[in-house]
Amino acid sequence: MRLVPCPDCGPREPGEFVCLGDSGGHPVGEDGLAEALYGRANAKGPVEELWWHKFGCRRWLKLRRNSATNEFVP
Amino acid sequence: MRGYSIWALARNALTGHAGWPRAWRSPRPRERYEAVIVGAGGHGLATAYYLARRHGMRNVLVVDKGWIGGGNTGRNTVTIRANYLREESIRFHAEGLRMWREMSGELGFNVMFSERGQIDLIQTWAKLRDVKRRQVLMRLAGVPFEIVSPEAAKARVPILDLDGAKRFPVLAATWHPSAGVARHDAVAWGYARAADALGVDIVQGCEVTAVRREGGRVTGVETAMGFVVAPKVALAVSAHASVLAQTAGVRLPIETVPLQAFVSEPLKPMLDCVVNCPGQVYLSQSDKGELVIGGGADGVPSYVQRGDFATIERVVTSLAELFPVLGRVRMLRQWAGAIDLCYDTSPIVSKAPVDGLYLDVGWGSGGFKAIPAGGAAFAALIANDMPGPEVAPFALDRFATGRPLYETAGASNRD
Ligand SMILES: Cc1cc2nc3c(=O)[nH]c(=O)nc-3n(C[C@H](O)[C@H](O)[C@H](O)COP(=O)(O)OP(=O)(O)OC[C@H]3O[C@@H](n4cnc5c(N)ncnc54)[C@H](O)[C@@H]3O)c2cc1C
Ligand SMILES: [Zn+2]
Repeated sequence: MRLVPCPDCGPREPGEFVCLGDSGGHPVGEDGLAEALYGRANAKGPVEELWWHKFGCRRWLKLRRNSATNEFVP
Repeated sequence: MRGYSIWALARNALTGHAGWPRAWRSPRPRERYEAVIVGAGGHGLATAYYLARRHGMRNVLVVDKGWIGGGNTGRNTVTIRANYLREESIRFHAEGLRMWREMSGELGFNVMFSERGQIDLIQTWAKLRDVKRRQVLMRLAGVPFEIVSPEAAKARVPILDLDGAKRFPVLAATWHPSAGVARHDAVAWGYARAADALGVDIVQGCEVTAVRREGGRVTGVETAMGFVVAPKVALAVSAHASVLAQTAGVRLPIETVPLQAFVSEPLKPMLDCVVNCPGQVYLSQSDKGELVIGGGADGVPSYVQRGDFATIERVVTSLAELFPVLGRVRMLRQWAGAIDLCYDTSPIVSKAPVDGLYLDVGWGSGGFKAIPAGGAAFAALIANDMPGPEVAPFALDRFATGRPLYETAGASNRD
């Protein structure tokens, strides 16, 4: 895992953060509620996620990362 | 297939070991098959074997982008047990334990199954409540599993330290005598060799790029070696379940997460059972003397087979605290596998919402033990186009119908 780029605190240890997963969610559509609640894109490649800097500034962040390399992309 | 035996060993020793035949062929994929299984891990290979052996389906291709057992099967820490929470899981894994005992004989390949038992050290009140509940359910299923005192655990595991101030003192322990370990590579190789001998084609180094469908039916798979026609396509690809299912328009309730493992330098025999401290660390000692150590899954979804340092710190802290004698032991290797973690941490063995597409995924941190029983059940599902009663509860539609199987007994479960 790479250092996590927090806009407040700069690059910090991943252990300070909680990754809360896909920031997009999935709207309830034709495929139903179960799909929206449980279905996951689980993309291999660029993903946009919510991160919480729990042991730092406690801010919620929206970060882009490549799940195939772990690199954060601006 | 020529059997392996002490006589064959002696005969070949006299001829400089030049006479051993190859364990399996390396064919090019043909144009069409009755069924294509994507993924030559333990699950894909066992499925192919049982399809050929029990259901007479021999015109089958197993295709892998890497090599036989090179996924999680060859990266796992080989604990085999049945002490789960769900009745469905307990019964399924109890049948698995029975199959493990017979596997070396059936495959003609020594998988080194060693039924050495497992001790869980319970360090939180939440976990104690959980194992109390599991003790009742295990009893109902007739599988031995009992809560014992920390001192009883210490008597069995002398390297365990119960003294002094601990962050998480040991409150109780559990004993699961029918748990064990086996040799992971041997399991993959044994099934590969036996499936190949029955006529199954195993093709390595060939990536499947997409499942092709026409309307509501599967027609075959696109591979690096061209299109292969098949009316039945079975996915046993662990980490890449979502990626491949999505090429057929199917979304899964699965996240891909790294799970790490560590191996120490070889030590004198000091641990003759599996020890698990749920959510923190678990270990067993291999026949070579190395301690095989694991912990919980990483917190960040990723396809990278490396793992983050926070997990290493967590595992090592617990290890050194409970087993101070290991505090200065050096680690030889560290690695991760990318596991397919299902939302309720139970597996998916199921028909997909596309005709002819079958799923055996979501095994997460616990699918090695499920290779024989999972392979047999998945083969029956593919052959009959209908799940048997042992895996019917693990259907994909359990989420939509409100019957998820939340599990608490996996290495990736935290409380
Ligand atoms: C560190 C670690 C420890 C573990 N410990 C235990 C344990 O103690 N006990 C236990 O029961 N389980 C354990 N597990 C879990 C267990 O390893 C897995 O659940 C099990 O091995 C899954 O087997 P499989 O055959 O489904 O998948 P894999 O063995 O991962 O095989 C999947 C195969 O699919 C191939 N593949 C993927 N995508 C494609 C594609 N597009 N085209 C072609 N091929 C493809 C891969 O190359 C791979 O070989 C552990 C896992 C890890 C990572
Ligand atoms: Zn911050």
